[in-house]
Amino acid sequence: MNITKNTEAERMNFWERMYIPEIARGLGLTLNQVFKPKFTRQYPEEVWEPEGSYRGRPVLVKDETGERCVACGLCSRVCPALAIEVHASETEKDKERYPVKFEINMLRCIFCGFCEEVCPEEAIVMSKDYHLVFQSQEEAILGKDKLEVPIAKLQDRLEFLRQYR
Amino acid sequence: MPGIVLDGQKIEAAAGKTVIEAAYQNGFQITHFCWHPELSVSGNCRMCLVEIGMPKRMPDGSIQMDNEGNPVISYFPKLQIACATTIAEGMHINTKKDNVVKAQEAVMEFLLINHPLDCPICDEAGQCKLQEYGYKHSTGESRFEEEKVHAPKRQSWGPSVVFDAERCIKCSRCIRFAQEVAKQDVLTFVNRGDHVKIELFEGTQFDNQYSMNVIDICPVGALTSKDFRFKARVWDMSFNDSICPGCARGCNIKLGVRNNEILRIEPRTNPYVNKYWMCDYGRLTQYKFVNENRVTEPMIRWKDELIPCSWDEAFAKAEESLKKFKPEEIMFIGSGRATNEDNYVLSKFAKEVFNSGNIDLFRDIDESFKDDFLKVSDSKPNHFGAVEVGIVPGKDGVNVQNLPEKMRYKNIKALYIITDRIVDFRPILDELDDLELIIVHAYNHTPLTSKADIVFAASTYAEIEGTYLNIDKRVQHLSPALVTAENMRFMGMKMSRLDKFGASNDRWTQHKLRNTLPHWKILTKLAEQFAVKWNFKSAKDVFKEITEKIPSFAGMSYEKLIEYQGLTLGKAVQPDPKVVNYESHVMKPN
Repeated sequence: MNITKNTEAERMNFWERMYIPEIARGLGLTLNQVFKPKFTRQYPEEVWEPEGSYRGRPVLVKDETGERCVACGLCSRVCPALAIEVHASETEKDKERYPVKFEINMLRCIFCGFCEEVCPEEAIVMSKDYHLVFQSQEEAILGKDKLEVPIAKLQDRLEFLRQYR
Repeated sequence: MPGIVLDGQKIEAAAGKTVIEAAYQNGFQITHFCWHPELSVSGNCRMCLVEIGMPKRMPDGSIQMDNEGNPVISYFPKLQIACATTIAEGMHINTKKDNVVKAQEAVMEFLLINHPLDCPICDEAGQCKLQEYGYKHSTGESRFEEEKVHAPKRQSWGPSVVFDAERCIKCSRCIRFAQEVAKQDVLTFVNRGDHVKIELFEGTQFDNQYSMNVIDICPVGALTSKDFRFKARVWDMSFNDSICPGCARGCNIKLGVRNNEILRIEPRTNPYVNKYWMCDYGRLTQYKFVNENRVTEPMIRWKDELIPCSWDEAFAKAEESLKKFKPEEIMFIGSGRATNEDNYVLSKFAKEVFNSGNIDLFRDIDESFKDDFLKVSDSKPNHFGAVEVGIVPGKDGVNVQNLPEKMRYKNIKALYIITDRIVDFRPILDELDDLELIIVHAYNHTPLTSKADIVFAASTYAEIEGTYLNIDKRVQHLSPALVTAENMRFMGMKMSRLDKFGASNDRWTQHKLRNTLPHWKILTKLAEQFAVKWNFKSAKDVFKEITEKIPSFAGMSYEKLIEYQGLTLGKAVQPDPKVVNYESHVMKPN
């Protein structure tokens, strides 16, 4: 290679060294975007509704018969971040076991969805909920009261999951 | 000893052994459900089918050899069950050949036809033999499309055991246990084919003193414990080796712990003490006093109340109070519930700091507790050990027999006690109020601690390392299973996943740590107050000194005690031979 001019400045011609045409071109590009359709939105006033495939905050499914979870502890075992703690107890129902305590530490959760994948009862699924704001570490540990969601609200996700069963 | 060839490897076993016994004694596993080394052979699960053959004999009796000089083997046309076939010289056994594997898969498929597969609910999951074999010896697919046979779940079999007939794979281990070990013949098979069920005879209960052992030997989760049902997953628990403190038998146990709380006790195999069993009493009672009603920090009496204080304050107060008395006015009481190390240091404390012979301990005999199997009448785990390491009254010393009298006549004005059960103190109970000073090392809040002037919070058997001497003079090692403020960093403690990876802000780590100390440590630190310095940093140091000072313990060490599962007193040089301990099914990795 025959390089005679060594610096950037030496390789540029006069107009290029002036920068003015480049500035004009840049302004033109920006001006062009003003008239194109927008992709941003005014969050949080305008809320985005994700697809069924979205992995948001894990929740417990509550159907007509009540909670589905039998407290088998597989989600807790598979959780790579140790976010889930389950304590079981006995009920009179057919499925003899239920969780007396089911806690997900949202500071530990990494939204991998393993808990949902391993669940034998389809009791824990990833919801569309992504607004997670906490004011203390204690508040970020969600108990059963905050985790249980009626099945009607989770139809999208359950349908998405069934495609891959 | 006949030599046999198992999967191409030559092994030896005593004559008369069955193939499955010979295999496990040499470290091989043959798949099985119904066989158990302590029970009779029933041969009904068919899981141990193996190919067995003998060398071909020539008409003159010699063995026929092939071109390469190996014996020609003629195999039985059908597979044989390893649990009921006795070994013979030259026998060849194949457990990994295609036909054997196919048979195992077929048996597994049959067993799983009517098994409900409710592992998510079942307590056995994680340590289930059927689950384990389901992974190892099954195709993982079922061809059965029809309705499974349903059977009653949650049948109560007595005070401690719940039976789930659906999960049962009809191995009959529990029936044979009830007949042969528990000697309460109340269980039997009823019906035939896929409707076969295990039932209690009408009007009977399985309420034997050893009934809960069927929960351990049940290869599936058909038998569960009423006490433990659904409390925790096995993989959330840690299991540390210990010794049952329920009586002087010293059954080897494992303590199942989650979140620093003992949830269950299960037997640990020791062929020389308890084999595979333990009694229900030990299993159900010996963890509650560790979990509940604990003295969690040292306390000093101030006016009529016991006030929690720091260890330094308690030691200073104890020194000040003890110095008010002449040495012969103080009585030291050891404990059969404390370890050899604790009692040794107490006797050392009495002798070296106070030059006192006023040292003794109460024996607790309950003849009604005794039976002809494991339970013995001595209800303290270490009475003999305490006596062996020096809890013996001196020549002119006060003993427990003349203690009430001496207390009445004010010859004894102060008591130093390292146990807490008021029942131990029945002979002197009336006299206690007249004493000027009572110092107690306590586990729990009891009527005795409420009378005490200084209470040192002591660590229970589940929180310390130490040794017990059982009724057969066997020294056995116990290791800590729980953490306290003091043993947080005990190396070698088995920990669960939650213990290992929990952070300080996880809820399961936020239980309050008990500020307790082992008895020997309390005494060592108290001796320092009296300007007597002993160089004991761990229980191991104390035990080392015991082995040096007390001839019957000579040659022992914690490593050796663990390796040989206990050593007989005075016979440290000739330990019982080590044997391979059979384990039916345990959580893996353990």
